[in-house]
Amino acid sequence: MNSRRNGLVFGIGIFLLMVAAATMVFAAGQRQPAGARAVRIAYLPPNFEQADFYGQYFMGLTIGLEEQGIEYELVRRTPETHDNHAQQLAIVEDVVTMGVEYIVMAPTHYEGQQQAYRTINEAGVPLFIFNYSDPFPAEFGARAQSYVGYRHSDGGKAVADYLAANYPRGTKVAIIYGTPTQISYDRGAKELHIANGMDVIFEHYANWQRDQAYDAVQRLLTARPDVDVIIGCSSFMAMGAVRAAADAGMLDDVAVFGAGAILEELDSIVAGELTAAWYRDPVRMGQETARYIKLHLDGRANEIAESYNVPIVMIDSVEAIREHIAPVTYTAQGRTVP
Amino acid sequence: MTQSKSLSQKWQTLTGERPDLAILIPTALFGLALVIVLSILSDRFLSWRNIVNIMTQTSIYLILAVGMTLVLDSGGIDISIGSIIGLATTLLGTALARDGWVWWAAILLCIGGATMCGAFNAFFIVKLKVPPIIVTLGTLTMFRGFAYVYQEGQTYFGFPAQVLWVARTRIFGQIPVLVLLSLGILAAGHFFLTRTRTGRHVTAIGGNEQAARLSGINVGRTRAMVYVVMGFLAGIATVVNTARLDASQAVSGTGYELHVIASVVVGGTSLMGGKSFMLGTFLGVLILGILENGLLMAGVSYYWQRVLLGFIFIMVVGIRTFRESSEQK
Repeated sequence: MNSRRNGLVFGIGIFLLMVAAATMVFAAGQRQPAGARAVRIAYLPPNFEQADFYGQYFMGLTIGLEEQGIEYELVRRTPETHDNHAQQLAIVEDVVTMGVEYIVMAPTHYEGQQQAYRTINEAGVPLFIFNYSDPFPAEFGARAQSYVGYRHSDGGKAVADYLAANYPRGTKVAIIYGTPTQISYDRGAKELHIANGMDVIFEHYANWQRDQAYDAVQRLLTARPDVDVIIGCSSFMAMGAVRAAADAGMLDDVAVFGAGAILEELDSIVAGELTAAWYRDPVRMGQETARYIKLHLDGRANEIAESYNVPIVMIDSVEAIREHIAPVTYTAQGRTVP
Repeated sequence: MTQSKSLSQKWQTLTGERPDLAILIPTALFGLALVIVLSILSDRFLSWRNIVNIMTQTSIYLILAVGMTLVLDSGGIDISIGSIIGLATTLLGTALARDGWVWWAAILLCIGGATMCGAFNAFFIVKLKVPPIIVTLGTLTMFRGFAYVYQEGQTYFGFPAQVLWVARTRIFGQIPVLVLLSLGILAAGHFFLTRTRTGRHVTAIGGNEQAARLSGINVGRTRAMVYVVMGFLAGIATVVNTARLDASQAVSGTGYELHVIASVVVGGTSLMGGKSFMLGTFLGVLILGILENGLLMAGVSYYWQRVLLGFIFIMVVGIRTFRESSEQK
């Protein structure tokens, strides 16, 4: 009887192992087919959703690679959470071992990923940084071919300037930060709001999460229903704030500002929910990186701009969307520009 | 049929004499099967460079998993280890970069702080009899909060060479010191669990606390020791992790607890306590490391990686549970 049970367990084990192996083979076959001379490029953002900044940048990168006539194979990897620095370092080590020819990377943390930059440099793989436009300081002991991005502080300043121009002094402002990091503070721009005469009455950390921002704003609107403006330091947190305000029936009483102007934020602006969001064109950033890769491939690396900043604009209307947003943001989703 | 029966009998005899082999051999064979499949899918998977990658990437988890094996063996659980790492790295980073401490004092502060976190958990679990899952759920949030408060959103980097030594140095230019360190800790853990009286007490408490108490084992002290050791090992892992990244941030270690617990369970240690295999823990950590690395090397998409990792975890633990329940019938 025991031997029959052992046989059964053994059989189930072998069957499941075969299923796992077959799934691996199938999944490995899902990678992008590449020609014999395809350039292998690793795309390493800290997280990825088709509709967010990293998804739009990816779209711009692939469009750009095709525009440049580069035959490519993209290896796209992200850590499980956007703040898992050790996992992104492990991914870097793995793709270097895979033998990729270029690495396009948005670090989980600009300062916190120095070891990853050094690993890439030591392997001799050209590194293209995006989402940050400041070159690495000398103490990092590493360098990238280019830095394509924007300054987060410019996003915070854009909102501060917009508020100063459109709202009276003494406006009550709440700021929803991500994590307690410099990016949060740059985007929140608390000092600028205070300098402009605004009254910052509430600050909260929602870990870049939509649901945590929702909860925070729900509590805020109960405790301080006199709040005039809520600033979300990321797209998803801003949308969580919008939903909380809508559910509380206070969307007409409070203005919510977003960050990044992803498609969901744009829809919300068109629907009259989100007041405005600052925008930096990720599609353009991706295309610019692709152009740099082409220059490098052609042996013209000296023509690559070390630092490329996209301008930041405020999107607050359909007209602004038509003027500033890359149409592919809509068309890639099978939609038309409003 | 005769041959099959004879193999089955041999297996039963072998595992009757050495029950640990009933866990270790199938787990090792499963790991071997994975290596074969992944090396077929990727020609670089078995390159020396990639083997070093896997060993390096799993070192920190292995150090933590040794402590977690003891904790689970005692019938407890510690889900605060990721936050202990977050707090300990802020102690290390701020001491080095902000407060100008000498490197060895900063390391002592880091490991000491992490050990104190373990002692804090132990106090509530042993003295106040609060269930470990509740205590460590609370300290998961609390330690992380302290880390944020203490570091004030700063990131510290550019640490002295003495701190980075553990992550940068390779013996004979090939084998990373941190791999040897983690293997040394594994060997110490195996010796402690199988060759010392206190180690056997840990297993006895996890198997039947009442019986352990009646047989004269100091249950409270032994259980407290387990959480203190877990904190101490989290401190060691923090030093290694901080050196590897050359950076200190309050968010460090987020989510490590689930990875470590999964590795230990894959290695055959029971979540119910009273049964643990330090060598199985090594295999469990290695299997998850091989899977994460190998699936990437094979070009499996990120989303499929998640599917496969979850499926294989359930498969390994499910088959073992089914077999154990079959044997008990």
